[in-house]
Amino acid sequence: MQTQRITYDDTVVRRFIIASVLFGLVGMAVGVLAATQLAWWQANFGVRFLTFSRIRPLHTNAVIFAFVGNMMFAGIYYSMQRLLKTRMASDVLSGIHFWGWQLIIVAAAVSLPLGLTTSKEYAELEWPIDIAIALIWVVFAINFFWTIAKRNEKHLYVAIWFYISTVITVAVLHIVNSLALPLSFTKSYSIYAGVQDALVQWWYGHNAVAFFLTTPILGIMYYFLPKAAERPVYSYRLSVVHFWAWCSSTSGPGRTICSTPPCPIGRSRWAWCSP
Amino acid sequence: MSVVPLQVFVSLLLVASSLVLFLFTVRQRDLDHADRLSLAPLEDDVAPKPGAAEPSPCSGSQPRPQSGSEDHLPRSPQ
Amino acid sequence: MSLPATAFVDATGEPCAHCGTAIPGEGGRGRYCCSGCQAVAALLQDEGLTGYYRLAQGRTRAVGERPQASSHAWLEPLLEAAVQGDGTVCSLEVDAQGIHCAACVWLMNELFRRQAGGLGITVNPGLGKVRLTWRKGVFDLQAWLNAVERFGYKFGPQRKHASSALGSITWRLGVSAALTMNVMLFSLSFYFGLSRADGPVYLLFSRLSLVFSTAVVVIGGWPFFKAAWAGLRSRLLHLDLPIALGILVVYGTSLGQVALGRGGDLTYFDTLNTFVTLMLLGRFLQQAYLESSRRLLLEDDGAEGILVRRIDGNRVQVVPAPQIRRSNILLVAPGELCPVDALLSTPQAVISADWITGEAAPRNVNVGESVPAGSFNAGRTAFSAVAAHDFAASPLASLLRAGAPKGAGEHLRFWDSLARRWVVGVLVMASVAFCLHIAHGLGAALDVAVAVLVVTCPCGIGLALPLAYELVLARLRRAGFFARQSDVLDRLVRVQKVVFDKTGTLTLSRLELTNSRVVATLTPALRDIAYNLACRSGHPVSLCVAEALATQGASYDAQAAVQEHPGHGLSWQQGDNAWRFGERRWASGDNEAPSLIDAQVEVASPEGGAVLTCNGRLMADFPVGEVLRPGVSKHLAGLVRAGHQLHLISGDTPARAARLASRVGIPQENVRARRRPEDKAQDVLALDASTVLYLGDGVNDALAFERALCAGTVAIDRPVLPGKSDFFLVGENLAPLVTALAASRRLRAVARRVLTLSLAYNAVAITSCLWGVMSPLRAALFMPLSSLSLLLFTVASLRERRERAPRPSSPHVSASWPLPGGTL
Repeated sequence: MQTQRITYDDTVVRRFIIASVLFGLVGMAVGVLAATQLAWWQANFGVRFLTFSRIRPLHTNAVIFAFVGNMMFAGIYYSMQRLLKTRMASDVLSGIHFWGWQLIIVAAAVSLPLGLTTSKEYAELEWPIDIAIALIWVVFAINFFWTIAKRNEKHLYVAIWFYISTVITVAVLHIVNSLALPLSFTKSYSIYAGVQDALVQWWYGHNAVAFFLTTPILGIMYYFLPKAAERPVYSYRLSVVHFWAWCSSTSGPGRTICSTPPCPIGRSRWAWCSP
Repeated sequence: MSVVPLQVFVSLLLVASSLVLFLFTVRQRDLDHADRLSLAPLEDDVAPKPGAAEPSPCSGSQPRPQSGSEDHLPRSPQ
Repeated sequence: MSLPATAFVDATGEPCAHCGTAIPGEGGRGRYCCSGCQAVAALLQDEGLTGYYRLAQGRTRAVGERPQASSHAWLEPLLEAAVQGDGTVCSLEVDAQGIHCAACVWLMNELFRRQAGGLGITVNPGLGKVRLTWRKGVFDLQAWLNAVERFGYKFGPQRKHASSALGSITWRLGVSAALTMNVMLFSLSFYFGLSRADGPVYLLFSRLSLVFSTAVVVIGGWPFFKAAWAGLRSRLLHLDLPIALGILVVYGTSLGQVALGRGGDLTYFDTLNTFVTLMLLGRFLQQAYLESSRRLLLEDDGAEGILVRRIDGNRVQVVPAPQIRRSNILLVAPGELCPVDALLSTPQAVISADWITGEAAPRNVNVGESVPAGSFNAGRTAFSAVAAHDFAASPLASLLRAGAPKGAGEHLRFWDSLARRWVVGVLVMASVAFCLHIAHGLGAALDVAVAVLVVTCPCGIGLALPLAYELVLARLRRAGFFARQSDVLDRLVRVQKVVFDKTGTLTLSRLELTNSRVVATLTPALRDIAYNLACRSGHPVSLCVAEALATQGASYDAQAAVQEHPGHGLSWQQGDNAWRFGERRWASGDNEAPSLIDAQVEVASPEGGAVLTCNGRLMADFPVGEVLRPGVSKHLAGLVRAGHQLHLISGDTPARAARLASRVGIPQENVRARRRPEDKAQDVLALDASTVLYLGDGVNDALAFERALCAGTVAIDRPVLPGKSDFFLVGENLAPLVTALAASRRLRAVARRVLTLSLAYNAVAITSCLWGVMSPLRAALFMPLSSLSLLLFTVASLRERRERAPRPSSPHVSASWPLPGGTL
C-alpha cells in the first residue's frame, strides 16, 4: 500500500465559471432586448436577426444552456472531485467537454438569429447541433462515470446521486425528443407530428426543467450550502429520501404538462393527456 | 395517441434504472455512512502548505481557490 | 389496568449543559447531569473541540460515569498483525461503542488529524466501526484510542456486522414506494375518466397498474405474510395476520374487477399500494431504530471475547479465556479480568469482585491466596497468578454461555387476543352481510361481503400503532433509554415488581467518603499529612481519600519519606511521630498478621475505609463507602408511587445490603443478600418472573436476566450483560427507567383508545355495507380518511407535555422529556 498525492483539476472549473458569467451577460442582454420589444416592437430596429421570434429562443437557450449550464458544470466538476476524493478521470475529456460546449453555444448564437430553428421549445437547435450536444454529453458522461469508478471515497454523497440522475436522464430526454428526419444541413422535420409532437416536446420540456435545471442545482446546493453554513445538512437521511423519491417518480409527471386548461375539451381527452 | 406508449416506456425505463441504482445503494449500505457523509462538504477544499497545520473544518476559514488543491490519501483496495 | 399516577421526578428543571437531559436534584454535578458529562465537557473546552456541540445539533447524549482508561489486551495481537506487512502503511479496523451522530464522527476525525502519522480514517457510524490507516512507526494507535476513549467512547475488536433484516426491508420499501407512485399516476387518468372507449392506452395503463400492484403486494407485502404465517405456526397471533389477510382480500377483489373487465376506477390498487408502502415505512423505522440501538454498543462474544494475558516461558501471549488451562501463569493488568480461580504469585494485589459477587469494597489479596474467577484488578499495578483449574471448570463459563432467546410470552397475549377477535369478527360480519343480501342474488351478496372484508382491513391501525411505538421509543432514546428488542414496551407495561442488583446498579463504580465533613474539620497540618500518605498508594480507598483531601487544598510534599506496606497502608516517620494511614488494626499498632480482616473491618467500620494514626493514637477516621446513583431515592419513590414493588437482590453482605436499602427506600423484607448467581435466578422465579423487571450490571446477574420478563443494564461499559439485555440505560441515573415504565403505560392507554376509535369507524363502515350503500369508490375514500384521522389522533395523544422552567416555589416537576432533536 502506497500513498498518493491527489491534485484537483480546478482549471476546468474556472473556465466554466468565466464562460457562465460571460454568456450570462450576453443572454440577459438579449433577454432585455426581447422584453423591450414586448413593450415597444420597434426595438428590433428593422433588422431581421433581431426580430422577437428569433431572439427569444436565443435568450432562453443562452440563459438555460450557456449561463446555467456552464455554472452547473463548474459546480459539478468542483464538488464531485472533492466528494469522491479524486481528480477527474481525464483532463482531455474535461477540455473537450468545455470547448465543445462553448462551440455549441456559439453555434446556437449564430443559427438562431439566422432563423434556423425546429421551433420546439428549449430544443430549437437544428439537427447538426443536436448531434454535437449528444456527442459532448457522451464525453461528459464518460468522464463523469469514469471518475466515479476511480473514486477513493466508496460511499456516494447525495449530491453525486443527483448528478448521476442528471447525466442519465438528460441524455435520454435529449435523444428521444430530438429524433428528426434531416432534409438539408439546416432543416429537419421531427419524426413526431401534431399532438404527438406536443406531448413528446413537453415531456422533454418538463423533464428538462426537472433534470437539467433542478437536480444538478440541488446537488450543488447540498454541497455548497452546508459548506457556507459551516454545519452539515440538518437531516442527511431526509436528503437521501428526497433524492430517491424524486427520481423514482418525476420522470412520469412530465407528461402532465399538457393537461393544462387550453387543451382538447372533454373529460376523456383530458384523461389520456394527463399521464 | 400512439406516442403515449413510447413515453410510458421511456419513463418506466428511467424508473427501472433508478430502481437498479437504488438496489445498488442499499447493497453498498450507503445509509450507514450518513453521519459521516454529511460532514463531507465541511472538509477544507485547500491543502495545507507543507509543514503547516491544517485548519479545522469548523474554524470558519473560507476555502481559498487555488489552481490545484491537494489531498494525501492512501491508495488501498476498496 | 387503570392509569397510574404520573411518576414525578424531582429535578432542578435545568438541562445538563452537555447533553440536555434533566439534572437530578441530588448527586448531580452543578451544571451537568453526571460526572461523565462534566468530565467530557471540560475536555472539549480544554482541547478546543467545542465545534462538537455545533455539529451535534442538540443530539448530544449523556456520558454516564467518568470515562476510565480501559485495558486494550484485545488490541495487541491485532496491532502485531497490522504492522507485520511490508510497506510503510498499516491499516486496522476496530469496533466502536457510542458513535451516534455526525459530531462523534467529527471528533474522531479531528483527534486523528491532530496526531502525527495518521493517513486516513473512515468511521462507519451506522455500524459503529472505524478503519484506520497510518504510517508504520510514526502513528501511535494506542494513544489515539486512549484519546478518544476519554470522551466516553469505547473500542473493541472487530465483531459487528451488518444485519440483513434492515437491508431487506429497505429495498422492499424503496421498490414499493417507487411502484406506488407510478401506479398513482396511472390511476389519476382513470379518475379523470380514461375508459375502455379510449382503446389501447386504457388497456396499457390497466395492465401496468395490475402488474405493478402485484409486484407491490408480493415484494412489499412479503414481511407481513411471513410474520402472519410465523404467528399462525407458533399459535401466538399478532395484528400482522388481519393485515396480511386484508392485503390479500383487497388485492383479490381488485384482481377480480380487472378479470371481470370492470377495471379502472373500480379497483383498489391505489389504496392498497399506499397502505402497503406506508406500513412498510413503519416497519422500516422500527427496524432502523432497533438496529441503531443495538449497534451503539460493542458486540459481545461471550467467553471467546474475554482475553487474558498468559506467560508462556518468557513470552506474554494474549489468549481467549476458554484456552486457559490449569497451572497456566496469568498476568492481569490494572482494570483487567481474571477469568479463573487463581493463586496469587505476586506479593500483593487489590481486586474488586463486584462483577462476579456483588461485593462492594475492593479486597486485598496476599501471595498464595485465591483470586476468585471474575474479579477485576482494582490496583494500579499488574499481578500474576497461577490458574487453579481449566476455564471450562470456572464458575464464569456457565454464566458466559449464550442464554436461550426469550420466547414470546405472556406479554404478547394482548395482541394475540385482539388479532383473533378481529379476524373472527370480520369473518362473522362478512357472512352476516352475505346472508342479508342473498335475496338480491349471489353477485350482489358477494359484492357486499367483499366490501365488508375490504373496509375492515386494519390498515389504519397498521399505520397508527407502529407510529405510536416509534414515537415513544424515539423519545425514550433521547431520554437515555435504549431498547434492544422490539417488544420492550409490551414487556414494560406488564411489570409490577422492579428488582435491583446493588453494587454497580444502584451504586456507581467509584467510592466516596460517606461523611464529607471529616475532611472539612481537619486541621491543615493533619490534612497535609494525610494527603501525603494517601496519594502515594494505588488502593482505591486511598485514592478516594486523597481526592477528597485535594479538594480541600491539601499540599504535596515531595520530600516526604513515605513507606508503603502492601496490604496494610502507608507509614511516615516524622521525627518522633510515627504516622500511619490505612487499615484500622494495623494503623493502631496491631502487628499481627491480618486474619479474617474483612469481618473485622466490617465490624469496626462497616463501610470500609482508612484511618490516620500517630504513634498508634487515632487522629482521623475516613469512612469510605459506595456512591449512590444521583437521585436514586427520588426515582425509586416515583416507582413506588406508580404502583411498583421494589426489591433488592445482592451478592454482598446482609449488613451492607440492608443499609443501602434503607438509604434508598426499599423495604427490608424485600432485600436478599449474599446471593450467588443461581440464587438470584431462583429469587426472580419466586417473585413470579412474568411480572419482574430486573436491573443489573454484573455477570452474576446473567442467570436472573434470563428469567425475568424484562432485563436491562445501566452499565454499558462492562462486558457480557449489555449483549443479554432487553434494554440499556445511558447516563448515570435511573431516570430513564422511570420514564420508560411510565411511557409504556401511556402508550398502552393510547393504543387502546386508537383501537376503540378504529372499532367505531369499522362499525360505521360495516353498517353502511350491510345497508348496501358502500361502494368501492366510497371505500377508497373512507379508508384513507379513517387512517389519516387515526394517525393524527395518535400523534396528538402522544404529544409531549412540555413543562416551563419550574418556579422556585414548586419542588415537584413532572418528568419532562428533554430537548427534541432531529429524529432522523
